[in-house]
Amino acid sequence: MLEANCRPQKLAELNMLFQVIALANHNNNDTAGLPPETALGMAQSLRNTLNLSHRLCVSIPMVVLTQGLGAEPLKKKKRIDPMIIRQKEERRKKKIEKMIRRLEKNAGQLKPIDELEVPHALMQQMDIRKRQEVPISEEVAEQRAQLAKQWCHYKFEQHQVEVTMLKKIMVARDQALEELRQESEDLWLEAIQVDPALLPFRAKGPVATPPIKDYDTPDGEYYNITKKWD
Amino acid sequence: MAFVLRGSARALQAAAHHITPRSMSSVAAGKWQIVGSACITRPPVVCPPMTPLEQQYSEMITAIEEENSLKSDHEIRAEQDRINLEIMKTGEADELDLEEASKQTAIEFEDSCLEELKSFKTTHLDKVNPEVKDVKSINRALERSLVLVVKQKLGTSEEWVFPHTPWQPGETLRQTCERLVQETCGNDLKVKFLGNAPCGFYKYKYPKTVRKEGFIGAKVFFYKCQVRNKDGPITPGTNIVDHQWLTQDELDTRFKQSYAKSISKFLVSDR
Repeated sequence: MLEANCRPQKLAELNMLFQVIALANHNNNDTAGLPPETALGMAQSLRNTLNLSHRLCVSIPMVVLTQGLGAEPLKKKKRIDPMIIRQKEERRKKKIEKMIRRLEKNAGQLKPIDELEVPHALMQQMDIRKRQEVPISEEVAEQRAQLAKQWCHYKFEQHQVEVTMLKKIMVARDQALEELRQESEDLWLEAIQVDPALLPFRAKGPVATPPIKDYDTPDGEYYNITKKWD
Repeated sequence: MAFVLRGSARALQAAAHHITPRSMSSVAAGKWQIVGSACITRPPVVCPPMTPLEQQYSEMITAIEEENSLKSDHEIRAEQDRINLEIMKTGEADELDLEEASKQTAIEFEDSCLEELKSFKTTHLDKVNPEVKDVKSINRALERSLVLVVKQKLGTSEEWVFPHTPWQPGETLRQTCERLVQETCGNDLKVKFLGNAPCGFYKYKYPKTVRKEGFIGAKVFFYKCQVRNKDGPITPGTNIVDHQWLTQDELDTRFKQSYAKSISKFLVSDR
């Protein structure tokens, strides 16, 4: 009775399982898993066993998947001689101390900046390089003072024009925003948002000469002559 | 002052976040039609020439600097040459190395430099270049800032204005202007918009016969943008009859008086 009830059910289950295995192997036979022939063979042999079991009325154990065995047995801890440990630590300490000493020794010394130092050869030629002082006539001095005053005035006016212009522009913007608000509150809200893409604002020019159209910059060579300082 | 400004800006931002936007179209369909307009500027490329005062001052500074300077290698060499020449004249040339005498003197060096300078051709856009006079070219008047002015149909007549287009529901005014720049100039002209806020406005009434859809007139909001990159020729859109790149002095001759007045309020003068 039991046999009649159970067996066809298990049979169907197992058949399905074999189909799944075969399908899986067929799908990724390139990468991993068994080649399809093996799967087929396996299915065949299992079916044979099943037939056998059918005849012998032996129950088949279900296929059980064990859990992954990723871990490996723990390694035995190595015992190191305490003397060696102490030596190692001392060596490290000495190394650090040496570095500190070296840093302290160089602390007062700054890296020289070649560009800021007058070459020695020039300092020696100082007396022949000095220009003869030409006395400035009173007329010229007066003219220069006048010009400096004019210049100050000119720059001040330029500044004032700039400031008033900026104020005017700001007033115009505020008026425009106010008009916009009267028409549409939503558009106004959009308009007063901060524009994150605006900054940083980069602009080039104006320059002394206009850029040459389609200019092909010649490749140059450069040598890095920067000295290295430790 | 800065603190107050920052505080108010934050308050505005907070307000912007909390107020849920109502449906755009219902709000904007007031009595005035909202129009976005782009003020496309090409900043000056080349420094303008110096004014007479600037010229004088720069000359003075150069003179003072030269008085205070030390002699250069070249000057010392010229002096040495002069001494050598005098020795040669007195007939004690045998004391000097003959090789030394055959070398190029400082004055000769100067002359050759001047000659080289004469033969050097500058690549300035000079007066011979047709682009200088062509008002349609973006490369004219390099030392001035230029604005793009187009001839657009306004009702029945055609008028010189900044490019403009009506605002469409669903976009912000800045987006309207970005779309406008693309429609007017194509994709080759890259511009940078200066902020989200309009820089100026101009409103005018429609003639009574044309007042459709309940609009009594248009409010034009201007947005400033700068030309960043021009890859190719500008291809004007279909709604544009003509276009010109003009300096600010030339604008008044093209525009209506009231339009020119509202424009002048926000333009950065380059004079």
